[in-house]
Amino acid sequence: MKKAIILILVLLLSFGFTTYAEDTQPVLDEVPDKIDYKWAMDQYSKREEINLMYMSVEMSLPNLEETLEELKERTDPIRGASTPAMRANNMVTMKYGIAEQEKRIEDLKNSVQKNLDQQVIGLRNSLRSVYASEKNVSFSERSLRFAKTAFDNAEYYYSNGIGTLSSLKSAMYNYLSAQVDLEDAKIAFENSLMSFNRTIGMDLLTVYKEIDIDETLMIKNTNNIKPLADQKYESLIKAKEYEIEKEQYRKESLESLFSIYPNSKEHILEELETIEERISDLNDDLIQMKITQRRYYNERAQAMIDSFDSIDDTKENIAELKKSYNKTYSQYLDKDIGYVAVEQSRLNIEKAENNLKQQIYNFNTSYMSYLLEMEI
Amino acid sequence: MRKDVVHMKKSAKILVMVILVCWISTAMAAGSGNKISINTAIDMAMGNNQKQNELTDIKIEEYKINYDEAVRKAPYTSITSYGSSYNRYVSPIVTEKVYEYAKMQKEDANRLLKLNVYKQSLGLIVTYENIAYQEKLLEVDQKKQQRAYTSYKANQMSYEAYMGYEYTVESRKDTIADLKYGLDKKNMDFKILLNIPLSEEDLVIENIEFTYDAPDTIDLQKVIEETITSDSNMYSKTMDVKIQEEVINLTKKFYEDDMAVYWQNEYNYKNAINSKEVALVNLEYNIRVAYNNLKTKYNKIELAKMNLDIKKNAMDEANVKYQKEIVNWDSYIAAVNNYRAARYSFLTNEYNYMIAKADFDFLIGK
Repeated sequence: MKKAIILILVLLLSFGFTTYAEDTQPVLDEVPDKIDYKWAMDQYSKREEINLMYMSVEMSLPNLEETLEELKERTDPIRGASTPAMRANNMVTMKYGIAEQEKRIEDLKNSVQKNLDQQVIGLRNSLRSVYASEKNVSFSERSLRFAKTAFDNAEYYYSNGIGTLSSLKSAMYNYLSAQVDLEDAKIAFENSLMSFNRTIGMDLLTVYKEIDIDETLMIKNTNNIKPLADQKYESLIKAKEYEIEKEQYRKESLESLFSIYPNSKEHILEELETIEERISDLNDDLIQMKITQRRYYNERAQAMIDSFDSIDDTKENIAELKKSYNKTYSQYLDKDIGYVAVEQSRLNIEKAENNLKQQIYNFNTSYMSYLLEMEI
Repeated sequence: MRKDVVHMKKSAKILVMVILVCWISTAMAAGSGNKISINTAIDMAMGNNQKQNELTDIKIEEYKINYDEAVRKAPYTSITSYGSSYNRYVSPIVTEKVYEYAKMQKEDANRLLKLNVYKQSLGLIVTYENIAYQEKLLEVDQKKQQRAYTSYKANQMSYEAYMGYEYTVESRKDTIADLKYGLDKKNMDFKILLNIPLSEEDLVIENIEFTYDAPDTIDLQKVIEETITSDSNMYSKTMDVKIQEEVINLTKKFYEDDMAVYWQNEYNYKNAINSKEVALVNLEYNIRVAYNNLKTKYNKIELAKMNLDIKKNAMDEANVKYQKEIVNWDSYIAAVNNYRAARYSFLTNEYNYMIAKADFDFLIGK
């Protein structure tokens, strides 16, 4: 299942995206003209932290492997067991320990990659934030131009005795306000750029000619969303059932020791009572999980489906804005309104289209995050 | 003999502190009630924190002894084993770091205390202003309510419309009550910060004229470079690299490269270098973001200043018109309220800038 999910991720990640840093390509030292999240991820993976993580894994592996060898060599449950409970524990370890230790080793080996996979989500969000704030600068520049025109007009009207001082001051305030908005937008852009650069290990003030977040939706429909959540839910239930099975085996192992330790009957009975309590608690957990986890995964899947559907709403909204623009333009041709209103209307469409672009990108990010969460 | 001198110096210090605290308390009691300046509040906090500083000094003294001891022993320590070589080459650096870093942390803690007193003092000033502002609005609301009552009694206004005015008055009173409750909490927090008994009368911070320069008067690059050399965390990270460098040199001398201890020390060395790099980037990032925050806050003041100017003009114009009976009282008072709102907004923007500036200064070690 895990392999299948990774395969889906790989396929989806490569679907419709421009590639810059393929595995076979040499390491890029210079910043390309156009960057995307794959390039950012490539930069991130070159950070010293990642090397240190690999080093840490290398250092921890021998101990785990040594324990695995010890477990494989273990043939006698009596070894090192001075009480029936310890002997039963050895029997449990002999049955389940090797597979669990192998999984621990496997998890440790995959831990760096897993960390990198998780990092993709943060990096994509960070890159989108840079893109969005840069766009915001350009929108603010245009708003400033509108405010300047309005201010120039107010100044003209006032100097010709048509406008009042308060309308002039109001236009002046709006103009200053637009200047401040632009300044703020530039600052927000610089902050998000520095945050992004800090994450991927570039110089804080590195600038990029173009940021690519042009993506098509990773999925054409939402058919696979619910099944993935169902599979994850089943796997969690299975994990809990495994814990119960293990405790059940511990109980059976201990019960089989009555004849071997006739003098420890009381001790065994006490231990059995503890194990039964544990099994009972685990069963309660299982019942609870079946309710809470079922609800959680249903809601999680539904949220993804809603997020997918909301993209259509945005598309409809853009269509409405375009209609509104046509109306405004007609009014302008009829000289009912000024050109600034037309420009403003056009800007609204551009903003909405840009939002749609980001919404698609965000959905893809959420979907990647969803796949990681649903990984078994 | 030397101990006596040190002891006398310490006693003199404490005496000066006690006199200072007594003087401050007396000044507070005798002067204008319990009104104090921000600087006096900072002095009080520092004075009342003296015990903590003395305890820290004892620790620092202990670190100094360890450091001196490590340096004294180093030349006579053999270098035949890893352990003794460690004592010779590494221990002096480790103890030096612990000693110097403790001194820096003490300074940081004192600076942080001053910063917090300053920020909370400004917070109190703004709260007084807000209460005063809301009370002015209440006066207007009450006047409107009285006029509405007259109209209602004269059957010129519906009961529902009159109740609207009454509701406005009541909700304004609620706002003021909430603000006063908030002020009580702030006063308590302030006493805790200044380390004075909660039973003492509340302190009132004297109003100050906010003075500030535009952020572009700051040479950011210079500030970053200076902070890197003075920051305590950077000092700690730099010393960690130095320590791990010595450790790995000794490790190479005494252990084979396939041994666990070798791997661990190599990892520690690389990790120390990386941690220093990360700390360096984080420091520069934090300074730049704090500086950008300053710029944003400063721009907001500029905008609020212009808004205040506009609202002042509108109020003056409304006043003239009201005197000439061109506009009614409602229009006039609306302009006055707009001006008051703009004035309060200007003040809060100045306050936000002063807080941002204090945070920035703290970050750069001021």
